[in-house]
Amino acid sequence: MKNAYIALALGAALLAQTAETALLRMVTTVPVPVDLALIVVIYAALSRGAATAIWTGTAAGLLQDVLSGGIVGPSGLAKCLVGAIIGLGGTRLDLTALWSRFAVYVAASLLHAVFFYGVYMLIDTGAPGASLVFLLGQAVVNGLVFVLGVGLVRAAPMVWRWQRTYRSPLAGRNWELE
Amino acid sequence: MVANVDHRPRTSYLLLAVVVGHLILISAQVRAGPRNSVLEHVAFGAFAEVQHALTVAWQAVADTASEYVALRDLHARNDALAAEVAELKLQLQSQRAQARRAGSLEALLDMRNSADLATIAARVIASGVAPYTRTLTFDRGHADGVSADAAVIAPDGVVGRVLGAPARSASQVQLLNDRNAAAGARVERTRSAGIVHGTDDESVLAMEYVSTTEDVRVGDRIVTSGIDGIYPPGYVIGDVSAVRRGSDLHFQISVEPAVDFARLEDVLVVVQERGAPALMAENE
Repeated sequence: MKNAYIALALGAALLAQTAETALLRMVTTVPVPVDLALIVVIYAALSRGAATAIWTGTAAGLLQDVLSGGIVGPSGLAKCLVGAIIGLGGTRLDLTALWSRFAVYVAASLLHAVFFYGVYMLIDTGAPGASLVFLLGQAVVNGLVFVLGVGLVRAAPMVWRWQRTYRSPLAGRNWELE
Repeated sequence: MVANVDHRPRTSYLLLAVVVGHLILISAQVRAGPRNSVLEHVAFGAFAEVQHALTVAWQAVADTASEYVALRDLHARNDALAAEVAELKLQLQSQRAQARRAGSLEALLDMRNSADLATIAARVIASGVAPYTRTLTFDRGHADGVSADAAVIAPDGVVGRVLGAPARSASQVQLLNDRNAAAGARVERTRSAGIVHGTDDESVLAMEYVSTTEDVRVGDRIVTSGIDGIYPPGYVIGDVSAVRRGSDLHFQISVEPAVDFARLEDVLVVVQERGAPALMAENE
């Protein structure tokens, strides 16, 4: 069963990666500082624990590294570490409120940036460029995307019920039994 | 929120193994140098096919929707287009006159056509994978004649170069505003040479190695010099937006790129040079 969750998380990370690169660009020409793969990794960590997050983070990060044309490993390592930390630390926190999970997403995104750039500093090669404003913006956007996603998932059944109740061809009529 | 949290020591061993694996992987590349692995080539090729399929599907949906909307105001658009055609005809006559004049001037100067490059049109199918690097994926690969390091240009100016070996029908392009991208450049007005590279700010390029004894002003046009062997000479990179005197003997020059990288749709990829001089560095 656990392997199924890992496979599901990997699939979600791959889907997120594809959506981020191929579809986001068609929706807006404004560059959106979002890391959808990281969002999936954090979600896996909070919902399924550290082991699933380690596998998901490793696979999603390595895929990002391989496709970005640089050194393969920094993003994989950063996402795996973030997944492990959030997976283990998340159990000690009360994360029932949405805002608290938003805060975890922001903190995890910043932690990811620290690990990612830390690796590049250690190996002393040209790190990819990003300003502090970009990293902060990305952390907040990652959190907002998660909150938006949760909102949509929660709202979907209600919208479905509303549709069935009020938009049905039989709704709104006065039915009298003869 | 947490459903099945794994507290077993196995998680710690797993984390340790994965971290050590990553460190070995990174160390091996730092020694040997990145890029050109079979894994990268295969992964990029496979991913590009998915991106390409998604782009085509999305485009089909968008086209159907836009065609339906377009039908609704066809009459108004028809009138507007008729007026536009009339105006364009006038413009065309003017352009033809200018072209004749330019052609005769060119013949007089016995100039070769500086844009004597074989190019193919390519379309953006995906943006960069990592948010920290500035790359785009285009729908042309080695099957179309695209090779590694091929220059990519747009009507507004230089876009970047093909990064690594392209896949069969897709290639990844490192944009000129990527922090690790660079191009040989010169100031068009004074011919002062230097190197343009990307910065942390994606809307600003930096030009280096221009001596403080040179004359550089805000608004000067920066073009490729061709000295790097990648970009053909004379293509627009951007305009100087700021000039500062650095601590050493060189100016710190900021360049506003001519190309709007965020809105790129169609570009030209230089697939081969027709005339050898076209890709050679311009003479001083």
